Amino acid sequence: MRLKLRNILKLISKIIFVSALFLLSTFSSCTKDVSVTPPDAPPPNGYLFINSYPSGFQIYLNGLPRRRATPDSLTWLSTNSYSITLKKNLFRDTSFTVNVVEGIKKSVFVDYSKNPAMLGSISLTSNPANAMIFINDSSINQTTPVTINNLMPGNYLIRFHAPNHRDDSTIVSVSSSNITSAQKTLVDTTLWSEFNASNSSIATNQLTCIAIDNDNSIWMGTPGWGLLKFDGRTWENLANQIPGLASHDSINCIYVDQNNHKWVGTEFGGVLDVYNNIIHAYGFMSSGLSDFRVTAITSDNEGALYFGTKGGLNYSNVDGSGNRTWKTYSNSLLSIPSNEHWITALAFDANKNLWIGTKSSGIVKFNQLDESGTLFQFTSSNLINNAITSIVTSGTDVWAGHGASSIFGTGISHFNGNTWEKVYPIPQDSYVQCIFIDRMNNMWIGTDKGLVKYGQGLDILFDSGSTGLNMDDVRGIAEDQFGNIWIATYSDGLIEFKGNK
Amino acid sequence: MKRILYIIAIPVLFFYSCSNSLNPYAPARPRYILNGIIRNDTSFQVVTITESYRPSNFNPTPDTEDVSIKGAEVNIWYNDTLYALRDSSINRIDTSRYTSKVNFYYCNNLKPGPNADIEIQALLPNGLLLSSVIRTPDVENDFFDPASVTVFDPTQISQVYVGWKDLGNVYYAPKISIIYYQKGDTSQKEISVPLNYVNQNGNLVPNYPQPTKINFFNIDLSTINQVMSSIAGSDKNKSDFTVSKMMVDLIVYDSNLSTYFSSLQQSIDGFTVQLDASDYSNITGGFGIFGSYYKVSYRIDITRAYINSFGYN
Repeated sequence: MRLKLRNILKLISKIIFVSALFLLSTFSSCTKDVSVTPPDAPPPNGYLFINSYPSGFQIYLNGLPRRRATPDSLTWLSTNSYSITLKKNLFRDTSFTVNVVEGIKKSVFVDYSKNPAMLGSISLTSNPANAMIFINDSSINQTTPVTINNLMPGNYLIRFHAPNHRDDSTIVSVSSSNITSAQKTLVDTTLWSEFNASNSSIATNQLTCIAIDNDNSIWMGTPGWGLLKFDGRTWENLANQIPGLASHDSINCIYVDQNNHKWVGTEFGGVLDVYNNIIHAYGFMSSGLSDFRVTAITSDNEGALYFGTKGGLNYSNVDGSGNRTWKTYSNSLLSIPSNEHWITALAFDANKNLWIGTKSSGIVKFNQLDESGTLFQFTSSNLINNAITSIVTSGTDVWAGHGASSIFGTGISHFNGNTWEKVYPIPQDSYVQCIFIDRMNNMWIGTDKGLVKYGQGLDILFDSGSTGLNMDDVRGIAEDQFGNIWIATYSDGLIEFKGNK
Repeated sequence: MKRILYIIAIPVLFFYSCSNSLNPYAPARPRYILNGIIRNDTSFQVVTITESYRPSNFNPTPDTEDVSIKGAEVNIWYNDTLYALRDSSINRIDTSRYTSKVNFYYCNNLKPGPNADIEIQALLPNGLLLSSVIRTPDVENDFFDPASVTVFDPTQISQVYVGWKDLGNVYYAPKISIIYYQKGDTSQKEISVPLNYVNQNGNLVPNYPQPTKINFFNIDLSTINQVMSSIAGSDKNKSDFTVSKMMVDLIVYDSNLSTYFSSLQQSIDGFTVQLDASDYSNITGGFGIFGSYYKVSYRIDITRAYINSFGYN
């Protein structure tokens, strides 16, 4: 029995020995040295959400623009301190620093309405004052002049309203920490009316000349849209009504004779005789005109017509047989320099002298009786310069407007029957484009910088600043039977002045 | 007997315990590669982003899976202005391996000037950021050597020399050509001019300029004669050809492209994998090359007498 127990113990010790040997071999002899690259670090997961009021600010990260605008987020950021700048047009830039920690979502909100430095102001004035102000069509219960503070930067529609004046509006851009000024002159509707393409059936806003006939109809020329007629209620474009008139669609001048014929000087087709809506065309070939470009028309007391062209002066009358005859005056007869052919203005004085304005050679007094001409130029006759655009007469007084400047500036040359004198009633550096004398003997001067009323010792400038109307390019002036002054402009159509009565 | 049993058992146990398998491949970890070359001769700039992969065997050609990365946000900043690149794709011309479209990122409003810093950042959809900053070559207006030939007159000179400023350790790739027109064809034509001709087994083989660090070249009159003669070739109507001028289009690599190009020159051939091959990358966060080159042109007039001597106009 003891022997059996000893054998069992021996067997157990052998098993333990073999097991120990197995474990030892397993865990010690198989030690391997295998190099393994450490796993890639995950990308940083810092997260920054930026919002603002108002929204739409471009987000700059560390000085560089990102293709993000508020509200938006910047992702995959590493733990760090970041410089953030928000930019938007009209706003001041906003910069701040944000500490981003990976694994934590960070949020930033910027309220621009709470920062006075980000807000702006509008200073509003008007002519006349005390106009009510509407911002984006909402009344603010304030009148001009006024400064409105603490406005969020942006564009605002400002409307001005005053009794008996036409409302006007403008868009004002407000920027941070700035005062933006806006001024409006409101059109006094008791004094002014305007007819342009946006409020009437006028064919164009570009008018070249104007005349009013004995029926009180207003006739206007255009640079390509034909001959216009306005009777106070309806508009007509005769180029659309009369076959063949389209070729005469550029109108330089209109003259109404004592028989209520409208004589229309065209740029391309000679002269049109418009009477009772019947048009007779006197073209270059079918008449005695020396040039088809007719630039000035007048008549004497006997009804004879004088046509100034870019090719000289022409005379026309009806003979005893009822046939119209033509005659061209030579430069030598008129005492006009031989190199000058462009007649710009014609007018008779009380002594039946025909005053002839030229493009660049001064002015000529032509005596019909003895057919002699006297040339006046600025080198010899105290004219402002030789560029004549218009002539009006009053008795024996002659007024010549100039269309260019010289060492004597720009303005009007006045002939008092004996000598010439220089007159400067118009804005500096403006050119005279037309002159008109009304029944009250006021002189109206149309320039490229507004309309001037000149008379009784007063010079009144009517321009956009004083009237609210665009009268920067006046091409013609006329007076109707009721004393209203009608102004043809080259940019804003027809304007009526009702304050001359 | 028992001892013999132990002697046998112990080594068997020893080795049996070590018989576990060992895979020599570590888990594949994708690496991202950004490649882009900013050029001054176009406003259309292109960048590609691809992902590395483990080929199925030593021959990668059976692997046709598109490895381009889409949906990344790629931005370039030049003169503090952000140029946001848009992703697009075009049909592949060679579909022998890849059949899908070529994906790329582009902008069409960036035309960099010389000596300007350009930064690129590509934020991949998985959050990895690849970035790089480069500077365009400093090619000034008076870049060419004033001693360079301006008018080629064989009666005065026997070589065309053109030199330019040495910008240091960068490569230059000149291309010389003669511009001409042919009667009845209003399009401008050009013929490349080699540096010289090498006689190989009786045949004259043109030796065109390769990218080099040398900042000049010389071309002999005989070489130009050879090129001029080949304009009309066998066409007997020489007067149908009008020769205009000689043009040198010089591409100046920036330092990154130059280093990359230099590393490529160390390859033995297209089939040998060198264990010590240099691998240049200037992409932070990944691999690839972001570089720039600047192209400038130089005009050399040719005397009318020389042109007429070949029968050309």
